[in-house]
Amino acid sequence: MTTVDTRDRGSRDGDARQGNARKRRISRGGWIGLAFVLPVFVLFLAFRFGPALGGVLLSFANYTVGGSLEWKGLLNYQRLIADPGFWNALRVTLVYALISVPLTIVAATGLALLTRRAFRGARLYRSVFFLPVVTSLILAGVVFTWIFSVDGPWSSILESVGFPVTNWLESSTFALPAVALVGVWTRFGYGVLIMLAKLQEVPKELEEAALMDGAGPWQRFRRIVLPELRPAIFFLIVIETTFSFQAFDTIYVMTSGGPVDATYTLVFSLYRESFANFDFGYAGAIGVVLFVLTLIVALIQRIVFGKES
Amino acid sequence: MGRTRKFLTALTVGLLGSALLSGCGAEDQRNTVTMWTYPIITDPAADRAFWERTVEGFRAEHPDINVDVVSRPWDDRDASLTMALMAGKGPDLAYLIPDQVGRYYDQDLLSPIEDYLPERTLTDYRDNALDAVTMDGKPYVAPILMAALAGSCDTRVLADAGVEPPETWDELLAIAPKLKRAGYYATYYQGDLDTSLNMNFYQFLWQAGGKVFSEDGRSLAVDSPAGVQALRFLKKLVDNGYVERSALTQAYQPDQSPMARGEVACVYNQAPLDVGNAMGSTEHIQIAPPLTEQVQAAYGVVGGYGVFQDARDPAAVRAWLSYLTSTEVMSDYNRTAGYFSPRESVTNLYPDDPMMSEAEKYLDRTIPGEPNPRFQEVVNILAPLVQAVLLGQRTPEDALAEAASQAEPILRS
Repeated sequence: MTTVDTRDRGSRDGDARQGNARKRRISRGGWIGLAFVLPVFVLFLAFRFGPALGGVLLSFANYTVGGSLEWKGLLNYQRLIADPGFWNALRVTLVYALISVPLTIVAATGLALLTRRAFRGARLYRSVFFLPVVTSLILAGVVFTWIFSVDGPWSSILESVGFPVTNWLESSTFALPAVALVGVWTRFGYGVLIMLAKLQEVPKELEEAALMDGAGPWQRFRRIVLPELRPAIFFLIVIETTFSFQAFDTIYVMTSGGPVDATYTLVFSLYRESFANFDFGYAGAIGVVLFVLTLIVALIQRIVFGKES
Repeated sequence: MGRTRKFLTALTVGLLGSALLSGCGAEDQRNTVTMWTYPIITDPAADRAFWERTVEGFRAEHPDINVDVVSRPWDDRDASLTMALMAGKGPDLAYLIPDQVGRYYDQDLLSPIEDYLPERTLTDYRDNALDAVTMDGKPYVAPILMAALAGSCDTRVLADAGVEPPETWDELLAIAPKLKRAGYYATYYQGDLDTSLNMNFYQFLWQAGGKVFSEDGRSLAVDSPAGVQALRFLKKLVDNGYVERSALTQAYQPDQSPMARGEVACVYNQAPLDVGNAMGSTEHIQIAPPLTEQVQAAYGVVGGYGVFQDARDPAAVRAWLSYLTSTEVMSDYNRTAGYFSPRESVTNLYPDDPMMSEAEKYLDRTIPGEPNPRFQEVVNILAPLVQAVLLGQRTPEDALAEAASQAEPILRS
């Protein structure tokens, strides 16, 4: 008994020593890991979290370029609620997102499906699809201004199918869809990349089995491919919504927010309030609204994506 | 231990070195004037050469003062300047125009230039040049250049259509149908939201006898019979196809403008040299007087250098600014840049250029804007409403009343 007890105790002591040693090793490894993470963490605090927090604080104050700060409580938010310009910018931003996000995802999914199989020139197509993502937005804006002009190809296409020739960028009704289409053009290539990666995970046996059972292309897509793509689609919804909320460059070049505020987005409003009007507190409040909007979309995605997982 | 000692020694030497270097920097800054300017002289080589010879000339008189002229791009100039000022890395002085003066003054950033210029320079400025940069009775920018946006007419278009340059609104409307029949626009109106209202709606408002702001600057005076008259006149030009419609919404592209295609009779919202740039040459430009309805008026920018309150060495800035606004430097600057002098004693800068000599005659007819701390906020309200009128979405009366109502709380705050 004694022997057994001693052995057991010895064994337990040995386990405890090993455990402590492992803890010490983990602890040492943890510190090393932290040391590696620290530079990025410090940079994140300094250049991401700090300015974001500063922006939130700014929204409760009036701040001059000279550096004087005067706390205003909720005054900037009260102004925001009473400002018809803000509500118009919010509406424009949401409509822009509602047009551009679904179209981007549909285009990305369609083109990814077309180029998923290995065929002659598939790689070239995939590269070409990605080109708009790395093209200068300013340059894209200038080119699309011409495309949508009365003498441009867009008007020619519309004319050939019997629509009247108008410059979409001059129209308060069509200017927003026009800039949203440019937004789709600049972003769909990224979506194609994500979708192609996800399509590699779709089990080929399932598709082949469905084919053997007589399922058509649409049924195979709907019953087999689409469920597999769902996480990628939700990811793209979040990313593309975030990007669409921040649309600025092409709009700045193509319409300057017009005609008559038809393309005047929240980011445009934020830019003008800060750097044209020097109203940094008010601009901060707009920034907070934009942040909250993006956060809500991200949370919805997280909830839905979490359930999917 | 030895390694630790070496590390500590290196650290101490490094810190001391940094301190010494920063001390040297501080010493240098006391004798250095930093100035931000922009490509006003559009040829980069000519711009560089001008500043090199100017700084050299100044240093010959003031060898103890260094001048650092920083040439910045036009794009986002307010954003970059305000960011630099907020970070405490701003210049001692920077190029500003009347539209900016009110805003920078309102932020307590500028010093009155009376403290920086000799009396003989201040009294020599044209009244309209100095008024445009004056807030609460004190000028805040030392003007160095002026422009006069009189009419720049294309002689080929006038000859082809068989018309003379108009002098009044009625004359413009009278020749417009003839020009249209010959395939030309009567004039050019750049109405996109990025273009200053000074260069489009305001000049017609001034010609109709109106003003943007009330005398005390605390309400909008544009909601007036003159404002309505100006908008109705412009609407008539748009509705009848006397101006290119796409310019109401599209950003200005000189090489794609109707001036570049030789399709416009007379342009009133650009300086003659800019019109010449779009046309490819100034050879066919004939200067016409600014249009008149009630008042003969044109827009003409006044540009100059404003001194910031945090200027590191005010005495050095005073010496530099006095030199920069001297008659010799001002003549050289304006000849090189293609502008006119805001000083009354510096005239006849282009004796061999009939076009520029003619344009110079209208300097006293120019209104370089109405300075107000809320200038930009009012533009942001008014510009889309003016655009809505010209696109047929609002009536002039409705749009101006809406502008006055939206601007009231801003101007009274």
